[in-house]
Amino acid sequence: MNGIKVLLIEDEIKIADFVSKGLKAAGAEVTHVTDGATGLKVALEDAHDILVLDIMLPAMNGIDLMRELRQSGNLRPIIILSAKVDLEDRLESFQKGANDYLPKPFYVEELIARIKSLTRRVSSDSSEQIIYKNLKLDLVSRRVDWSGDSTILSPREFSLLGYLMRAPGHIYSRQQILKHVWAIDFDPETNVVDVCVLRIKRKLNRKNGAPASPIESVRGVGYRLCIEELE
Amino acid sequence: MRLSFRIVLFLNILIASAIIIIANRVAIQVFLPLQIKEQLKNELINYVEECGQYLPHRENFQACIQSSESISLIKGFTGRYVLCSEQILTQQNEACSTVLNGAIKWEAITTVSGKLIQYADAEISKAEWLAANYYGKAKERTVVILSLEEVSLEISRMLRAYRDRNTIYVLPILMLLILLMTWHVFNVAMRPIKQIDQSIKTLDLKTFDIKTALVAPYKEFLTIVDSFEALRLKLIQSFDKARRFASDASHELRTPLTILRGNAEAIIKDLPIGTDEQIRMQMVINEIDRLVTITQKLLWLSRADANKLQPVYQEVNLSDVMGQWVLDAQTFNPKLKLTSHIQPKVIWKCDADLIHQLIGNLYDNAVKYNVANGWIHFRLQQDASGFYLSIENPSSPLPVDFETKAFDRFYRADDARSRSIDGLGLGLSLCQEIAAVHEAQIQVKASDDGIVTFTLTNANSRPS
Repeated sequence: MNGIKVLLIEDEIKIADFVSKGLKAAGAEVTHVTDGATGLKVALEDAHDILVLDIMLPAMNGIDLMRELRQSGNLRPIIILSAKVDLEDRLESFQKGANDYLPKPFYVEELIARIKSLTRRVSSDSSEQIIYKNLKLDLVSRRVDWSGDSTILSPREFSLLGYLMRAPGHIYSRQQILKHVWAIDFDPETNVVDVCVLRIKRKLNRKNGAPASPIESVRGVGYRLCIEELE
Repeated sequence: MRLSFRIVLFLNILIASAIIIIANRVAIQVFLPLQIKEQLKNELINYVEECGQYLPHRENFQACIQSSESISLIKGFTGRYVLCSEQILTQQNEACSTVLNGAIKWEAITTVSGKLIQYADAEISKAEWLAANYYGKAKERTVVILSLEEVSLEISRMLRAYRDRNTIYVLPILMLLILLMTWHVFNVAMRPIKQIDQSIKTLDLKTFDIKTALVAPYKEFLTIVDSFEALRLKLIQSFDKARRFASDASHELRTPLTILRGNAEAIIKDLPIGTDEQIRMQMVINEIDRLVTITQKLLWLSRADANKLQPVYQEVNLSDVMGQWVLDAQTFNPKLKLTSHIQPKVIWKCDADLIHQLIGNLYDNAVKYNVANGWIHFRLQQDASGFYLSIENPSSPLPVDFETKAFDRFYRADDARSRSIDGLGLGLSLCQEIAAVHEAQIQVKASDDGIVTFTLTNANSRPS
């Protein structure tokens, strides 16, 4: 994310605060604007890599802003942040030119992951592989390369590892993982996440000489892709 | 026990009929003697004119009356005249001497043939007599008198005898007629009410605000229909408010929840790995996530109430979806014995996300209310009428109203045990809404041996 210029247009200062903080921590340069009209002006004048846009804005709402921007020929990626989660709102956003839509409340890491994906899409990177240092995931064959060794993961295992790889170093809670990998929003009252992580660890941990495991468990919080272990 | 309207109606008609009959009898009691008197007067005058020439000979006079063509009351009472003659002083009584000699106020009445007849309506020793004078050729005078009371009583007695004899035969017929009348009146009266009732029955929470207004079949029903319509409008308004409140609340909650979670996330990142503070902050995040889930479910429900739960239909392989759930369930809950009977290639046109949510909620329920070392049985089969999906599990004792209330919002079968369950008892009610929007049926059955079965079918008729 280093050097990516993000224009954040969000009137809720408290949300903008932690979003800016999170994005900056991830290495992005953030410009924050609190109303639509200024947002449009800034977006047209300055060259940002991506726009993060709220819909309900003073002066000019996000949808109008987006339309104006697209009509002026500006095709930079736009991510919509909105409290509206109805299908029509999403569809309207996409129709008016949004590239992605993130309903509130969202995880900053999720936003970062999407920004990455969108900016990468623009720079025409291959989307068949996710690579982080010496860990490589092949999205088609579900094959993992880990320090030269390779193994095939089950769909859930693969999805879990891929999820952690979206933000190396960030700790994902079990609930977050459950929601993303198993698509459930209730607590199944079991250690299914731990079991799955354990299986990934076992599969990646067979060869001598390889680092212990790319996944680190954080007691009481969740799991993360450990950045220290990876070279 | 409520009184039957039919019986009330019957009793009222009965009472009304009785009043009519009694009124009729009273009227007869009052008017009949007057009419009889009037009739007798006319007849007396006519016969005196017609047959007066035979007077004072009783036999001839009577024969003349009997041979008269007209039908009359007097014919039946010929034996009751008293002929008072100045010449023949037989058969005389007190009344005779009074009419012959006493101060009687005579009234001259012209008959049809133009003859003058003297007539009197006299009270002699407290009895009423009708009297008519006749003067013969020799100017001899004969008075025909008739005791009104005697004749009247006779006629009344006769009438009463006939009437009372008839009553015995008429009464059952009368009752039957009243019954028939009640039945008919009841049906006629109930028809518009039934019509209105039918219209009201077609309304439910989902349709009462889009349904067209009720129509009163008759003007007398305008007020009831108007009242109902007014009530409906009020309900629509307050229901709208409640719905908007739920929707607004879940929207409004999103911003503070976003801020809460964003900051909590940032704090977790800042805190040293593995510290108690970090763990505690994760607990905070978990609770925030739970709030987010509840908010989402409330929003779904409010949207379902507003008919705005719009599924995105696509062909979904239910067999695969169920199969995946069984696989996941095995990893989720290794202590539960999981069995399944899933017919392959059951395809349904539905919203994949909503159905995932529905099956997930049913599964969640089956786990949460299971017994120790229990089991869950998944079943999916299809026949010509549609598919049949069920999730079955043994359960801890359930309240008696479980089957009827399971889908109610905020209902919990067991408060103490389910406190930790997400969604505040919204899950099953959401399942019902999802099923409804897909025009599928969801049902729950709790058997006596404590086995709970939730079924989802898309067949119009319920498979056995």
